Amino acid sequence: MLNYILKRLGLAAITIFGVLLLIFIAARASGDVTLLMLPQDATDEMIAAFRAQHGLDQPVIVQFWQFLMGMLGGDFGTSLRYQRPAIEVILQRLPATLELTLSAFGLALVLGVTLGMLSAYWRGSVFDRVIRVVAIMLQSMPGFWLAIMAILVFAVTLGWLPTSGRNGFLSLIMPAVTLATFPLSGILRMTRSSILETIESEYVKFLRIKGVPESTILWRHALRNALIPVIALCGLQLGNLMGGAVITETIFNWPGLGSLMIESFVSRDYPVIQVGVLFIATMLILLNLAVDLLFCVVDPRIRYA
Amino acid sequence: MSFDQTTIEPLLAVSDLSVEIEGREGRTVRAARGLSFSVGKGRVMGVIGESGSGKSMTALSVMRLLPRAAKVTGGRVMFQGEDLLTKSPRAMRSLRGRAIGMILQDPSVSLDPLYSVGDQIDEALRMHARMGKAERHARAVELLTSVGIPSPEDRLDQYPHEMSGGMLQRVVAAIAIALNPALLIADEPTTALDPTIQVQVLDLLAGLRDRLGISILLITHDFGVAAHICDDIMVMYAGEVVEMGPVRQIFDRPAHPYTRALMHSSGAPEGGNRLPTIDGSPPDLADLPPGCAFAQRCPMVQPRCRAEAPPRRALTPDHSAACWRSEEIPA
Amino acid sequence: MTTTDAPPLTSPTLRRAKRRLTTLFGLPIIPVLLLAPMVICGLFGPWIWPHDPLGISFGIRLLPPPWLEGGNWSYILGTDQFGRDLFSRLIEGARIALIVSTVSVSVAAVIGTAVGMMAGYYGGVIDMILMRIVDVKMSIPPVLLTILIGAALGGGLATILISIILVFWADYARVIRGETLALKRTGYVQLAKVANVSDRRIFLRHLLPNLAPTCIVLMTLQFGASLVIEAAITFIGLGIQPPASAWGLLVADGRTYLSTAWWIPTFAGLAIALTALGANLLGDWLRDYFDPKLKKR
Repeated sequence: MLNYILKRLGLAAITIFGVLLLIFIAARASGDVTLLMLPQDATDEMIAAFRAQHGLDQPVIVQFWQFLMGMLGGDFGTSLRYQRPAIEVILQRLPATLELTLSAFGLALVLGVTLGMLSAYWRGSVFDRVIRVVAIMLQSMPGFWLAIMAILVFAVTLGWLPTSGRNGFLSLIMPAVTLATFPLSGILRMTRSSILETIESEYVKFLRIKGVPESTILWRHALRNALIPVIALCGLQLGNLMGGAVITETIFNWPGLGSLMIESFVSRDYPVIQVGVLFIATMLILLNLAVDLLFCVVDPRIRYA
Repeated sequence: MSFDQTTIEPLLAVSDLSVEIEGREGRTVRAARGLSFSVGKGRVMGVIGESGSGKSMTALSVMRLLPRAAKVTGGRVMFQGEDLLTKSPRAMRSLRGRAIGMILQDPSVSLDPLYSVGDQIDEALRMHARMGKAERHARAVELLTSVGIPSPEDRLDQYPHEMSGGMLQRVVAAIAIALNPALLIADEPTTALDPTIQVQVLDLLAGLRDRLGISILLITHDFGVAAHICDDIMVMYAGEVVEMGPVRQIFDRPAHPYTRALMHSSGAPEGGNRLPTIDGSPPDLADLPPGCAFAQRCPMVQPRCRAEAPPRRALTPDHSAACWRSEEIPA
Repeated sequence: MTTTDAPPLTSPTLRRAKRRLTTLFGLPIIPVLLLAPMVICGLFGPWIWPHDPLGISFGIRLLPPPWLEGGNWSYILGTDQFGRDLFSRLIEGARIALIVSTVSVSVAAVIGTAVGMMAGYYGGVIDMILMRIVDVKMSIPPVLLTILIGAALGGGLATILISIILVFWADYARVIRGETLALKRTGYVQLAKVANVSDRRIFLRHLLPNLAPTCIVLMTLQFGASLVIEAAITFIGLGIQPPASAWGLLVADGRTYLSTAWWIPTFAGLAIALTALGANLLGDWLRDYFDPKLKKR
């Protein structure tokens, strides 16, 4: 088990290194930052001095090393727009994003698992068919469009909910629900097929042979087994959720990390973009690490591997 | 072990059992057609036949655990003087695992991978017996010992994936006999195991019968396995019993061409795990020909066989076969 | 015993009738009907659109669809804020969507299949590097990757294509790697290796034909996904730029006029959703078709 944890930790570290490399390459590819950082009438001497000061006259490898050391040492650069440390700008926006994504994720998980279970339980029924059609429709629907349609119906036409902003529970409903739709359909479909596979398994047959009541079979055995692939899927869906948050936050003017990324793109605030990507990626890597470790608890086959 | 079956009331008496399965495209597969047999107390009855002959469906009908598509369409299953087919689901559940135990073919998938072996033995005890925790633990250790698992205390905490197939089948057997059932159904219990382990598991079953007086319904496709521990044998073909009787009599004097063919294919040097091969294939159970179901593959077929199904008739008081030419079959 | 097959849901005649109703030239009718308009409009747009999709005419700004008051049957889905015909703009949008999706999915498929096959077949360093790249990819959501790339290259078609290809090729490679690993263990590939068949020949004659069903299913599903991603990227302003008529742009435009001209984002979004739905349904259908074992689910 210790081996497993160490291996996961090692892989997570390598992945973060990979993300850093990607960010560095993207930063280099965006051309010479010098001209962006200095006033337009800067002299050649000023440019040369700036380059030397920031190590831009060094070979790429050295530059990457310095970049890496800077990031690892907690020097994440300064926001060009806010003239404050980029990490501060990001942390300030974090709570709003957490509120939105966690609500959406909770909603997707509870609804997805419940509906998936019922759908499997009543396999072949009208309910099952309707649920499956709705699930695949939700998966095909662009989240941003769904969000706009929701605004059209519930805010513009009916006037029940505020169109945008972060102002109490009512303003959270539309963003969270529209953000939840995509992971919801994935979790639902996975739960359904996983439960069907489990209840047709030999060990469930043997539990019946033992005389175990159906309710115990479902709650104690079938569900626990069926949820293992669902947990794995949830880890992957967290990434989709963060991606979706960028768009959802922009549409609803939700003051989170996602809308910050778009604003930074528009105002060419590169340090914030880079640190933002690094921050979100690290968060996802750590969350997936947590999911992997959760497997240890749930699945003895990994615990003793 | 040579009781006269007729003088003792049998533990399990199945009469005229029919099972139908709703197949694809609206076909109705007749998995069992008017089956009758009985298992006496403390006896081992072997059910032999090729795959698809209705063996497992018969066993599952007794357990009332047929798959959703299958239905019992007639007959009775008398167990300890009561008809299981008319019991309430609740009464049936309390019988399962307590009065009737069952072992499945592949031990590697018979247990829930997420719970320890001890937990799964304990579950059976919790379900059916009023026992304290310590008492159940002691019983679990006793059970593992009785199925021949060394250092049972340590094994209780292990998970299924940590044990070998042979060990797992012993655990499954331990669960099946946990509540001292009167009947144990074993559905191809050795097919998924290595040949050397197969003999051990068969000896274990024979030992259980001798020590605990359990009746066993052993399903197999292998005459060698049946000969090893069975008292009686019933040979199934296309959902029917074609021959039944004490194992020695059938071995010495098979009275149905199908029995004879099965015996010869099992007798091949590889023995054990080999599936019997007989020329031709079993008939379509959704579209049975008139007459004897074996006629199209039978080396001794006559015009009468194709027209009229032979009834099962007694050759000696406890040996019967369903063939027009039983008397002419060579050993 | 394998008599535990799934029960039939309908009688044979009903079933056959149903099959006749639901397939067309062997393909399922609903997905095909959903996908066909996009493909036809994409290929033959200029011959179909009733008006110039970029033709501005301020006299007919924000004209509603004809079945509403003030509508005009010449503009069957209404007009936008510059008086451009929405129907014609949707047709132009189909062209952009078709190009973006086809190019990005094809390139991703070629790269992904090649790398996945090599990683699965040779293992070792290639495999290790691939799996780490997949890890990195999994940790950066597509939209963020696009922002990162967009920050370097600026918005536009190139950014969209590169982003989608970067996102999709790794998915391909991961799946193909798994399939290749499984195929490698099969008898005939082992046999071919023992018989000293060249790697090139094993790849082309033994692996590729067996991987084809998986590739086709994945490409179909990714076609649907790429439509949505392209629209999303364009919607947030990193993709196709105005005055082009990409579907994502139409939804973005419509956002401003939500209270006065609901038809702009509604029809554009429907075009995206229905086309993507068609691709997803077709993908699911193909998966069942190639792997009947999964049909029960």
